[in-house]
Amino acid sequence: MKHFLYLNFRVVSAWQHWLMRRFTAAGRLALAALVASAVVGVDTNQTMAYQVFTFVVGLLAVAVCGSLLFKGRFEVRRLAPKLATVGEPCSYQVQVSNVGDRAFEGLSLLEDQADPRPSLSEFLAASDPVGERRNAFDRAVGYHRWARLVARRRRAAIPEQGVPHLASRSEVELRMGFTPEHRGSLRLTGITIARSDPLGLFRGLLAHRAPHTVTVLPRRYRLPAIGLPGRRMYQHGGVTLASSVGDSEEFMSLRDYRPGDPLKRIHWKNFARVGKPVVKEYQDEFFERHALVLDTYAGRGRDSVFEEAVSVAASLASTIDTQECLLDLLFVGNQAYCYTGGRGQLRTENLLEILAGVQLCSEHEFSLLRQSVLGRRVQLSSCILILLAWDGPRQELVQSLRALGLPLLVLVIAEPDRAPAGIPDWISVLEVGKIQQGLARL
Amino acid sequence: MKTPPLLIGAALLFWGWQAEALLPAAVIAALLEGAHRLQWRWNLSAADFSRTADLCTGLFVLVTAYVVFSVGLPHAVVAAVKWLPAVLLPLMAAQAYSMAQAVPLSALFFTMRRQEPTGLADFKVDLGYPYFVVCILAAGAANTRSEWFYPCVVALAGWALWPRRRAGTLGLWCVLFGLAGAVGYASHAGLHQLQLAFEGAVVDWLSLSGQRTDPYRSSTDIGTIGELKLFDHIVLRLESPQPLDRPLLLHRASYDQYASPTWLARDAQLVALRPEAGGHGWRLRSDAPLLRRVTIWTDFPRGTGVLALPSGTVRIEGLAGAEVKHNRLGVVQAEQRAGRASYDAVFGTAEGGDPPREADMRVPRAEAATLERIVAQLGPRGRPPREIVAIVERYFREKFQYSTYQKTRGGEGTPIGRTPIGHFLLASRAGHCEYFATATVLLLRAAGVPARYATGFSVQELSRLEGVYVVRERHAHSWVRVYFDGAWHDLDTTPPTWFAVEQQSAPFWGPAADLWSWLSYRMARAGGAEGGAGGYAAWIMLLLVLYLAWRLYRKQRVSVANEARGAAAVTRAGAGRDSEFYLVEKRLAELGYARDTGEPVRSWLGRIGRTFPHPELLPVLGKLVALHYRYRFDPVGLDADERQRLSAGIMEWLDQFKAAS
Repeated sequence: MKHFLYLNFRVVSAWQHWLMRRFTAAGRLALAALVASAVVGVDTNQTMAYQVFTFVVGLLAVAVCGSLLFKGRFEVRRLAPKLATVGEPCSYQVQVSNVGDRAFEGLSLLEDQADPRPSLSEFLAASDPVGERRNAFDRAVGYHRWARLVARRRRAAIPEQGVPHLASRSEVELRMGFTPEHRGSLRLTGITIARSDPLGLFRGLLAHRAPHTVTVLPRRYRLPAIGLPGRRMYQHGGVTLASSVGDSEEFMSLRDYRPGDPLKRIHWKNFARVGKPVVKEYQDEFFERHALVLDTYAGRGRDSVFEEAVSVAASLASTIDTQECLLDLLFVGNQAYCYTGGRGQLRTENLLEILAGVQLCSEHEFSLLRQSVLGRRVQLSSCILILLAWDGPRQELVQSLRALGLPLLVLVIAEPDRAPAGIPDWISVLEVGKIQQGLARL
Repeated sequence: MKTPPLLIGAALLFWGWQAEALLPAAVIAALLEGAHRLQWRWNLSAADFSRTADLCTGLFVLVTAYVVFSVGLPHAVVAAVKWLPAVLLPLMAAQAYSMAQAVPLSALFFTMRRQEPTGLADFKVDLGYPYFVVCILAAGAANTRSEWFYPCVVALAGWALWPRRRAGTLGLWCVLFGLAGAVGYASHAGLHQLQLAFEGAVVDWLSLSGQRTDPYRSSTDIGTIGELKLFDHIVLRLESPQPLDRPLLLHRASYDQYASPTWLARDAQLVALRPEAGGHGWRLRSDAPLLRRVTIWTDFPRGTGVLALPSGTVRIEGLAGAEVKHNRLGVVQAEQRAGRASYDAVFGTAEGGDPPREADMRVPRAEAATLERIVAQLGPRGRPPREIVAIVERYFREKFQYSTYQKTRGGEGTPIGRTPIGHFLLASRAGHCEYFATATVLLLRAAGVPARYATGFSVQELSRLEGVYVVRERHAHSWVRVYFDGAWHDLDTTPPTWFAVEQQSAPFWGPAADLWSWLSYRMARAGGAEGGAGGYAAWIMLLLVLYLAWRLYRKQRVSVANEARGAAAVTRAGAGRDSEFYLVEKRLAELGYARDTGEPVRSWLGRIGRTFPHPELLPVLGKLVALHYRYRFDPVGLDADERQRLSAGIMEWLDQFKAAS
């Protein structure tokens, strides 16, 4: 049954896409009038609505034929950015050149986006955060789940843009814009030039291939200045790992080669002199290293909580000054990931791009995240935990880190008015919809 | 999409003309178009729109319930559509007199009100064009069959589409629109003919089968089906002052020629009956005594219908405004408004009608041998017709039984060379009424007595709920009209058990369906004709809307006009948001010259000036921008003269721009 519904949604979605691109607003109304008159006028003896039906059929048939007259030679170039942010308007320029001999009036530009329809497995795994508020029919059919998935995968709806009078062999520059609604990759496959038929009902389309990808970064909140506590810790590997972060490189002594020493540390002159490998020894590196741990175990129906957690993580990643320290971003996807930001390592934009692609974890247990964090405990100066719940495993993680004496900032994201019970006062609870207020209190 | 001025009013007047409710339609049109003239508006919230939409839904439910009860399904669907413009009036009035001039989507879709706030729920739609379409469809539902309907629809559609045409295509638009009108005209005539042809091909499965009788042709189920399908739907009611002592046969049509499996009526043209003085009575015969009277309530879904009448009907009364026709075979057809109707039948003993013709004695060649054999067995030939009739009647009563099941599906099982009737007479000796009636007619003819095949209903069931006799579709019956003693007499040779057998097929939900049918019957009796009551409904809705409007007007009117006439300044908060300059901005944005967010107007004009096709118009706009700035941001604002100058200047500029484009 769900397979059937999925196929049904796919077909209807494709049909809807075609309808919205091909028909103008007046054309869609004519189409609605066609259906309504067909229903009302099904019996030609009972009503005269069948005359309305045939007239609208005539109108649409003529309009479709009229749209076939749209021919032209255009060149289109899009100057779009590579990054955008959820909730922030993004605009870019499009250059349209008419390389033909005819002038054009009433053109529109439409962005072609990659097919946003989800796969069957995605559809089956998707949940509806307000499912319990929907009626039994909606819950069973799951159209809202489908619509939500499509909107999420589409990232943004890009409105069409009118083109001014385009003389022959001339070029116009247009500004198009959109406001991303969801993080991730917004894939643009091309640009279509549309022109309605003379009746203004049906549009002729000329598609141009122009692939481009915009990475939509997570929404970010304003944060107060966060002073991360903690002391400098010994960093195994020193500056080779952390570039010039921490103390500067300082030669200490020479010693005999031990298996595992990097070749670049061999002192070749002494090697030649004494006949056995000798390596240079440097002063150990000590600097601050903080962990930003993102909980990806939300469970079904808690997408909005997870999205807010990603936004909070992005806000912290972009606010924390990593000029004098390192910031490890830890989370679990199909495996445990750790990305390090700071001088010589990843930049803030790179961390945000990584966060743009973070997905919920359903393959592993929470213990994997715990292992990943505790495995780095020796190097860490402090730890920021962004948690999606306050249950046993999470409490255990927090207690373990506290037992190590590691300074902690714990943020628990919760649904509105559903703050978990028994949370200690020093832990901040951020409610969805009031995240900014919650962060301001940090 | 805003509708052009007066378009909605014109569509409403068209609907009123077609629905015979011109006066209410004119008032509604004045109410909605008056919004263009009046300067005050209500500040309606999304909740107010939702309540108004709920009111419309409630009105629609009431109207639908009313028409379902009064005209019954499926005609109620069309009847409800007919009154949609009046039902939707509260919502349209709310839109027309609201500050927003549009309706939030959440008001139209109940589920959107309960869910997380999304951009879609806040989205506002202008219902002008959809309402225009509703008016046109409602006019079509009135079904006046006027030849002016199509030209008016085309003209109104042209009016509606004219502002949506592509710029610079005036001549082409006219040609294409004319072409569309011609295509529509040609195809609607063809579509109607197609339906008539289709109906002719498949008469009975389009429902209403028990209701429709073709006076010239009757297709029987002889030899073609296994189990006879029986429907429980009540098709007519009969009120009789005296209780019926035996089943009353209500005759609808007779046929004289059998071409297996169809009975045909040849040379039986319907001719109009002249009504008696007053136009409410028609006399079928003048020489018969009047003995009894019954009142029959039934439905004429298509207006034209064959009347069910007792044998020997002399006079018909009621059916105001109807045209009544009859033919020599006793068929009486009335042409009147579609819907429920009642008529009285005054009847005597035997049916009059034309004397028998040669066709009433004709026996099909295929059946002749079988019939001859049986006549020889019975030996009635040469006896008086009355005796022959008695012999034949006894023959069927003693040797045959009733059955709704025939083993011979599609002729299978019938011995080669034998017809279904032959098989029935010689072998199976079991069948339903069509077998009995057909076999009896043919046997009587073979024995030398003129006979015809008659169809109609058998009235036997007295409803305890209603206190009247009810006739269901499964009570449809066929019998014989036989001629002797100078008159046509009804002869029913079907075993009387047929009624009890078919009673067994009544569904378990029958009582509920009967209750619904009774309610609609009572409603129809109480309300009279549907059209008249619908007109009252339009007036009631209009009064209701006016009352609500008055309440709202008293409560929260917000003036957008310069109320303080002669006052020096406009000082309210958010002043200038209604500046006509935004029309310029919108128009230019549609053409691709959109102003960026936060871009100053003058910078914007400077930017687009490089590519603007009519740069000579921009300096004028620059002067108007100064007024617009003052209107928008100056705390002192504009005085009345300056405000007028801004408004007129912008409109003039838009006209010039349109002409230049």
